[in-house]
Amino acid sequence: MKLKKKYIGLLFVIPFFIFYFLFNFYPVIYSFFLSLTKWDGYADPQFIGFHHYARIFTELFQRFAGAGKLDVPGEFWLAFVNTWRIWLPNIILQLVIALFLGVIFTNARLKIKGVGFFRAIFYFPNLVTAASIGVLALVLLDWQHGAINQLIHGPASAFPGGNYPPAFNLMNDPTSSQMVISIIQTWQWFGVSMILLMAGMQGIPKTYYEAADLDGASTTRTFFQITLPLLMPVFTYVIVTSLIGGMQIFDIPYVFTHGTMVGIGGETGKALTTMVLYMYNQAFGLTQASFGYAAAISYMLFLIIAVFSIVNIKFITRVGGET
Amino acid sequence: MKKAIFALVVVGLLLALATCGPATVDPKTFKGTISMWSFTDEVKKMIDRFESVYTGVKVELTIVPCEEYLNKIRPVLRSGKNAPDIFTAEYAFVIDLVESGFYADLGQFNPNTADLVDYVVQVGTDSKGVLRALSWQTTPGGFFYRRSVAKKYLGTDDPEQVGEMLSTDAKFLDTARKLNKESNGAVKIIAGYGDYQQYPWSRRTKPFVADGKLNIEKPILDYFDIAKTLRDEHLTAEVGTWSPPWFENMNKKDPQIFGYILPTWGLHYVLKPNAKDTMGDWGLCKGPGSYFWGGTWMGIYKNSKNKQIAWEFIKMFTLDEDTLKWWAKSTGDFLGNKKVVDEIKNDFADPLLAGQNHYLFFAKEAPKVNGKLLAKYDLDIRNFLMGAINNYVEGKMTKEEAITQFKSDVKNAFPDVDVQ
Repeated sequence: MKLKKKYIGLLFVIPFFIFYFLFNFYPVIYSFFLSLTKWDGYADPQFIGFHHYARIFTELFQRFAGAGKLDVPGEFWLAFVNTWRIWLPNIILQLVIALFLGVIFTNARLKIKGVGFFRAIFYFPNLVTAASIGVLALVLLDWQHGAINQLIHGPASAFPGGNYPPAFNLMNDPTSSQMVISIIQTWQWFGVSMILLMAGMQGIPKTYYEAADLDGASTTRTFFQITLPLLMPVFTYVIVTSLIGGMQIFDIPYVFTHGTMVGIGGETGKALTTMVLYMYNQAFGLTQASFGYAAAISYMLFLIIAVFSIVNIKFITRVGGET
Repeated sequence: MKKAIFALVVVGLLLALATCGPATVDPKTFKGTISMWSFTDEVKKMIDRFESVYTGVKVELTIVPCEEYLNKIRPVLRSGKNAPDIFTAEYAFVIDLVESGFYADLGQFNPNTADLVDYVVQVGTDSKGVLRALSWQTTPGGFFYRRSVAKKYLGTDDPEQVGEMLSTDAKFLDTARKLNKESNGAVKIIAGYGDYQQYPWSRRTKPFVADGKLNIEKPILDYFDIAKTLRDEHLTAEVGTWSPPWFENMNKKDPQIFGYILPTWGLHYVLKPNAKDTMGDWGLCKGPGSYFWGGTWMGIYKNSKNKQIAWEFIKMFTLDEDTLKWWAKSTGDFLGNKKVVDEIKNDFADPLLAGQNHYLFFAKEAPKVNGKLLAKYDLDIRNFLMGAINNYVEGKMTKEEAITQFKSDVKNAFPDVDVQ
């Protein structure tokens, strides 16, 4: 009878394991196998060992050695830098906005009305698919005919006589195009971070604040010495999840680079090539596919995300622990 | 009674005579179902016609959008599971499919391709000389311009004379300057320097990668300068190809864009649906060169179990003259069969082009096309080049820097290619 119970338990977990092995475990192992081959998708994969990984690591050194030069190989590392340049401003902006709004909304003295309404409104952008946001942004930002440049230029050109500079093509400059994506990302995600931070703030026991109040601590001091330190675990969570998502950003850069606004070639044109986009291009973007190299990139991506997540968790818990 | 027997004999003799001649198999004897993959619904019309002649055959069509086509068909062809009997290939990846070894050798059916335009056969033949795919069409190109604008600023709307004004790079630039100046900058010759790319591509003598080596020929280097001139002197509308304003301009009575560099299909599938209010205001002339752009090939899957029926389909739409005539008349598509083109080329007068005969024009252009220029890596490399040219034109790099960058892009994407 006891044995039978054991089997019944197994029966319940088997479906999960079947799906896990078929759709998670097998592809993971198969990608690793692919990363050790050269494969164009037509003929059989050719085993070449760790060639792709060796290429990625040599290119890392070549990039360091030849910084600033044009013909330096190592687009993967360019994509790595691009991804960070898109993710970092986004997470900083996002946290600042989310924290600010969170503090206002949860502040016991302000007692803002309709918090639920604003929370929903700020969360909305997250419900829209990234690809459609990308298309919308492309239309708004069109250099010649987009609403944003028209708004800036339309009123100015109504006054004759002035020598106005031509419309600035935001999408044709590496930094500005990266910033555009950062801002879109911020807009899309600050609502989520805000809700998480607010939940964290509401979880802090009221007694701490009452004690601080009794001791005559100012609002600023309460914020820095009670709210912020106690929010550290939530920060870790927000930053790590954002990092995992941010390192894999794909939709919006894909939509942006698929149009004619940003060329594929050239470092400036490649400013929006993130790591996942680079991987996608190697596998599905170019007519001449290199599935092996793309698989190696995906493993590198895993490694990078793992390393940075660990660093992040260690660093923030240490900061949180000291205060 | 005697009369009846006589009549029967006569009818019998006539029938016997009718079935004599070249040993053709009655289409009705073919029975079965074949499957086909394509990226356009163009072939639906063909399938209807095929099924009405080959009444025992059913064709099942699967349409996969062009962007996903290669990624979807690759695994199917490799595994062989539910693989189509016939699959089409587009200009952008026909070389890859022809070289992939998944197309059956069409030589086994002894096709007579003598009447086909050379480049159609060149493109469908792999590097070992085996014929893998054929096409019903050719896609030479021209310069479609607005007659009213030509009359106003160039003094004539005659295709010959306008063509003469555009016949070389230098003349093209001069005409661009003239249009810009005379219209006070209101009219630009083309949408953007990117539209011009067909000419430099077609002026090459070798593919970008030949024998594993990257070739950057003079026409390509010249294109950097032409693009720069067009941008610096504000000679184009700076509108991207396929962007909304690019299309909108086709229907404007006072257009900002004078002309579009488009091939055969551009007339029917790009201009006509978008130029409803400007019907008859268009002319077609030669620009600074002959080029081809686009086209669809089809072949048979190497492990197909219905190769004979599949071949009947391909034969019907690439070699059968009556079918091709019907196709050209009902779609306006430009054919790849020289013999049929010669027979019908005088019968066309397009209303969009104010009655001009586009068939006659394209018939002159088609034989000038060098199909060998379309080769492996070509399309990816063109994209890299356009990126490099963009950097140069936008003033982000010098020409030398842009070329260095281009080479590095090629090397990065295709480490096996020898980049000097």
